[in-house]
This record gives sequence, C-alpha cells and structure tokens, in this order.
Amino acid sequence: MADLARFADALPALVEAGPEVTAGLARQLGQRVTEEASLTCVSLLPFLERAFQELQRTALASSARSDLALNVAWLLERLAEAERIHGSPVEVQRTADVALRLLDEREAEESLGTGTPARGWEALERMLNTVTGSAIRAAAALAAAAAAAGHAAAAEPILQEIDDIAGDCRSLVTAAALGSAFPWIATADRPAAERRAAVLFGPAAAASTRRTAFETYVVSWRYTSRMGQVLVDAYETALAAWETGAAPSWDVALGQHLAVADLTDLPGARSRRWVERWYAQAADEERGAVTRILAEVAAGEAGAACSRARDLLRWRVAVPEAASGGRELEEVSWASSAVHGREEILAEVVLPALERTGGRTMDARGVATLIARQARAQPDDAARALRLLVDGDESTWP
Amino acid sequence: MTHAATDQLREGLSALLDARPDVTAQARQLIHDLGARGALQFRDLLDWGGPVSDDLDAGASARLDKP
Repeated sequence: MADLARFADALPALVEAGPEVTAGLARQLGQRVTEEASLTCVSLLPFLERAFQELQRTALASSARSDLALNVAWLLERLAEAERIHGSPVEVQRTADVALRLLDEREAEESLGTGTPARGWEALERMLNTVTGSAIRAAAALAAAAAAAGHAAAAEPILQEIDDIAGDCRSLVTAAALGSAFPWIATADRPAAERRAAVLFGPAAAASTRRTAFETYVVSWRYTSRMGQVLVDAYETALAAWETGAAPSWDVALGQHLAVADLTDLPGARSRRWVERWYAQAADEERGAVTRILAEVAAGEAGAACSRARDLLRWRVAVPEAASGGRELEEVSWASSAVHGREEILAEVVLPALERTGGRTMDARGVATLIARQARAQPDDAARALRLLVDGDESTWP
Repeated sequence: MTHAATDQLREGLSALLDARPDVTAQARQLIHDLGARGALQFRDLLDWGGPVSDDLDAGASARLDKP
C-alpha cells in the first residue's frame, strides 16, 4: 500500500519521462490487481486521483494526456473486472468520480469519424485505442462492479452520463464502445436494461451506429440468456440486416450467438427460425464454426439443449446446401464423443455426414472411437462408417 | 485420419471381425486396403492371425509392389 502512495507522488515525474513509463507503471499496477486479492480501488485511489491532477495540468502535451487517460482507464477496468470495487461509500464514490472525470476526457464526437462502419474486431481495436472507447468501457465496468458490491448510488451518476453519451452517439467509435460495454451497463441497473438496449440498438438509433454497436457487442461477449432476453429485438434486427446482405462480412459470432440462443430456448429464437435463417445466408466456413458448437453440445450432457442440438444436426446432415464448400459437414464429427445415445449419433448424425463428405472428417479419432464402441451393437453402420472413414482418409502412412 | 486413430481403428476392426459373416467380409476387405496403404502394421497380425493376416499381408505386398 505504501509503495502505491509513493508511485502517486512520483507520478508527475513519471508522466514527464514519457508514455512508455506511465504505461509500464499502469501495467505493473494492473498485474498486482490481478494477483493480489487484497488490492482494491481504495489502494489505488491515491494513484488514480493524482493522475487526474496531472490531466488537468494545462502544460501537459496532448499525447501524454491521452496516454495517461488510456492507462488510467485500463487500470480502472482491471479493478472492476477483478471485482475490487470495495470500500466505504465515500471511497467508492471517489473512485466513481475518477471514472466520471475520465469520461470528460473523451475526444470530440466529430473527431472520431462517422464514415464507413468498421467491422467486428476492427471496430473493437480502433475503439480501444481512443480515450473515448477506453473511458466508456472503464466507467461502465466500474458501474457494474460498484452496483454488484452494493454501491448502486455510486454507479448512478456514471450511468446517467453514459445515457447522455448514448443519446448523442454519432461516431462509430462511441457506438463500438457502448456496444462492447453493454453487458456492464445492463447489469449495473437491470430494471433499465431494456430501455438502454432500445436507445443503443433500437430503431431510433442511426443504422450505422446501431450496426457497429451491436456487432461490437456480439464479437466481444459470449451469448448469455440474461442478455439474450434483453436483446431479442436487437438480434432480430441484426439478422434481418444479415439476410438483406447489408452486413455481408458479419462475423461468425452472430451465428454462434443465435445458435446458443436457440439451444437454450430463448423465447422467440425458434419461432422466428433464427438458426435456419442464419444458415441459409452463411458461408461454409462460418457454418462449420457454428455446426461445431452444435456437435459439441450434442456430445455433451443429456438434456434439452443436447436434444435440440441433435435435432439441428439431423437437419444439417440432410439439407443439400450443407455439403457445399466441404467444411460444415466435416465438423459434425465432433459429436462422436457423445457418452449417451451413441446409437443415434452414429446412425443419424455421423454416418450421414460421412456419406456426404466421402468420409472426410475433422475428428477422425473421435469417429474411429465411436465406431469401435458401436461395432458390436451396430455392425452394419459401424462397417459402413469405417469404410467411409478409410476411403476419405487423405493422410499418408509410413 | 490421424495416426493417433490407429488404435481405435484396430479396435473397431477387431469388433467387426466378430460380427455377422457379411460384416466380417467387409472388415477383412478394409484390412486388406489398410495394409495396402501401410496404415496397419504387421504387429496387428498378432491380434488377428489366420486368414485375416493373409488379408493384411496381401495388402502390404500390393503396396510394396507399387513402383
């Protein structure tokens, strides 16, 4: 603790020494946050508040200023992610004040670009290199962690500021930041989550910012049922854009989200035929990545999701378009490691896939194991599958 | 198919050799083909022996005869 206070006193000299020094210091502190469970926002407050005195120093060069702001944002996000927003209400409020002042450091919307939407990871990367993006993410993460720790009052002003930013969102960087921070924003104040989702992803938002925000959300986070329930309309809007070709290079992450929404029976996902519609438009490589998820769930624990995954795989191995491109049906083989219902996996999923790929498969070892296990119970299917596996084998042997 | 699947391959073939005669015939043909590709080794004869080893032997010979 004492050495952290010394770091704070030394901060002006460290900032003068250059951005590499402050970045190195922030990295060190972030590492300590990760490793030392006793380190909380209270421990870092002297450093964080001293950093803001530096930011207000008019003589500070603009590049040094933005570097320092980026490092403070990064550190705040680490603290929040590690759930170290603990302390007295006053101390947590002081930490929240740091986040609020950080939001004031954002670049002007006009300077951030409103042109062609960046795609997925590209948008995320571009956003993380701006004070705007880093500050929004850090503030949202802090609000979520503060609310989770029982300090909703400290989170409230941050959320109000984020509401103002979302209401005036014109740049794609800001949209990407808000999209990638959305689960934090939503969990910081659950009753308001749908209202905030509508502002960011709903029809009132400009099409370009809406698309960038949602795409960044999808590539940043795994699907969860809680977020799925809040974002049903946003998924539908994104899928509709995908179907019209407005988002031709949409990342495979959309398909992964829609597939898991279907497997976990998100209300509306099946009746709106999300998975079927996504597969109808997706390229072979993308279909393969999602089919692998279906296969892995089909091989997993018995239950509704497993049963649904098997139904979807039966459908995929039967539809003509699944064979185009070659990869998708090879991914079906990941279902071979199933521990229950192996008869149906061999007869209705793996064998039909092998028939259509000519025996080519991603998980040859798994398929060979399945065949060995089922050879006595299903000799005809096992013999046929083994013949296909051997014929489709492209490896060279000694 | 990865070489790591060889054990599973042998296990499956062993089970099929114990099945109905028509399935056994398919397994023997597979053994012949695998022998021709060098995918099964002579150590497999220790497990199977008899006419099956002839299948493997014939496959392996066919492979060796290739220019």
